[in-house]
Amino acid sequence: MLSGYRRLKHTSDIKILVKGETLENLFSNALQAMAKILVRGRLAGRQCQANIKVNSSEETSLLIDFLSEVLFLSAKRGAVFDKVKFRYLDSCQLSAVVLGYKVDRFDKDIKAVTYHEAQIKRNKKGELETVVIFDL
Amino acid sequence: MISKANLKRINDFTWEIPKNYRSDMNVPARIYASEKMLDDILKDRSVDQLVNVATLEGVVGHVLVMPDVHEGYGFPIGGVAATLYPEGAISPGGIGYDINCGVRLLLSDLYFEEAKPFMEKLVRELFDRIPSGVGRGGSFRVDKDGFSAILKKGAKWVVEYGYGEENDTINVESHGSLEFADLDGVSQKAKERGINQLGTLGAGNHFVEVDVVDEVFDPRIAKVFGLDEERIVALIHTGSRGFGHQIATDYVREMLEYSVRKGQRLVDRELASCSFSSPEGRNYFGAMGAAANFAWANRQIITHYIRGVWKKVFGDNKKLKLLYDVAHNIAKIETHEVDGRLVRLIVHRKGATRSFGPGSTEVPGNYRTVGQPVIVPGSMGTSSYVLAGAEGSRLTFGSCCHGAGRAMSRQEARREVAFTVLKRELISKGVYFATKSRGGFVEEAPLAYKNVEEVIDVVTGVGIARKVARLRPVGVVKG
Repeated sequence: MLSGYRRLKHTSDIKILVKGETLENLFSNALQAMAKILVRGRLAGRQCQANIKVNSSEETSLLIDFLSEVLFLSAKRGAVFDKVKFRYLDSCQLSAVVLGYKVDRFDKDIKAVTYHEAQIKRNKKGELETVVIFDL
Repeated sequence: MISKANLKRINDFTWEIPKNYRSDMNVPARIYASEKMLDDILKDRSVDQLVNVATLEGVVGHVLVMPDVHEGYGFPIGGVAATLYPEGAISPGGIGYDINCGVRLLLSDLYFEEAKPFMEKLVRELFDRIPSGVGRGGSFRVDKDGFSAILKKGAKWVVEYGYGEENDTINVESHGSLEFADLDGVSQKAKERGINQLGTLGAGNHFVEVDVVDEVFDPRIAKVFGLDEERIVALIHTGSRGFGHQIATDYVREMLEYSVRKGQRLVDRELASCSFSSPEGRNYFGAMGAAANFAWANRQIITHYIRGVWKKVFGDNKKLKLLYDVAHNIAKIETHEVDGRLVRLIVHRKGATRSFGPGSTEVPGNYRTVGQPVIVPGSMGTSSYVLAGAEGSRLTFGSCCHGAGRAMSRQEARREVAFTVLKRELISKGVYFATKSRGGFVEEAPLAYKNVEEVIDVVTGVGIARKVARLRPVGVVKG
């Protein structure tokens, strides 16, 4: 697998392993994974977008803070964002526009995106990967 | 991973990991569990997480987990840790993302025989009246000033607003209102995420349940609590919704940044903490207080909705009074005995309930001779328990278990349990139910939880609490 994500076992919450060839791919795949948790089916209907800027101390925190920011926007706007276009992204800051759809309901209530076990690193195939745990 | 060989057996229900197990531990770690339960507990990382908690700055006595423990992030769920007030650490990860998630028990003047013909209608009406489900907003509306007042005064404001009865703030932990709540440290995001979620149940393991008192074990205490066999009661389990989730998110991040600034080495980023007396620590504690007040207000509004449905179904003269309301995700400043001395402490409870025994001035006067009610919900379709705080809780900084404890992942539950089978099983047990999500419903199946009886045997065996009554579910409403 060169990109994407998969679910790992967790007793009470949702744990994923997300991968990407680049930091942009990794962030984008993590966003898609979160969107898929919020709404399992295909997204359609009224589109929406939001600008987003995040600063953090290092890249793993930046990923978690990015997802947390999008989660807040989802709750506030009643929307699921599954795509992102980066204006810039480095290990400590990003500016982007996230794109998605308005939804009537969410399938899962994600309370928070946690830092627990998250650590972006290169795997043996040279891909970037990290675990992300969503608190339900 | 920790194995049984690393543990010292103190008695049938108490196991200790000595302080020298890992060089960064400041205190030993204790597991309250039977040997049988311990084998399962050691299968996940909850005990390793407990060892991490033992590294907190200013932690005293021992850190501990209750028998309903399971893996969390930072703290394990079911974890308790006390740090010295005011210079010890406060960690948002020791309270969790659902600040003041808790349980409220309402006592009716009905007995099952009388209520039974109306149960299906009651469940349907409760389901229609109480907003539930993911991200669902409620019909309760206040302006910004009203919202701020709720965050400062909690359930007290809601009762004054007309959503409650005069005595409703007597039988609630901290009277449903933390005076130290402070809005200065509350983000605009938290307010935006929370303002429309007052009076909503949410999803996941949150519920409203109608139960019958199935068996009374301690008639003296049960009489004080107003419980007798076949009486109908109602349980509410919910918390601070998006408001509390956002405050926790904001402050875990802030404390991580604090750790980076201070050059601290963290064993787990979700355990990020700072000194309680630092500006960051004070801000978090004030904001956490606001979220706790939100949660008590939330359970109070839902109480009002349930009372409305109760009158509609059973008639105007049928009442519901508040037996008690406990928080199970919270930090409190409390006085406990450590090494023979009474010390002021910051007690973190994450998935643990207070269990103050007889004589405590923090127990409402009407319960003070017998100890506070400790409400322990089981899983849907199995028993819940009402316990009374007991003297043995001095071993646990006045803390007890908070539920049965999850044993199976949500994915596994979905694989193992078919909705139609679960439905048939509940109907055969005489449990009416209504839910927004079939998938979410099977994730909460009894199979996914530990045996609540075993959990209760441990906490009563240790003497943390006394067994008062067992409740049998007859109606369940879930988001």
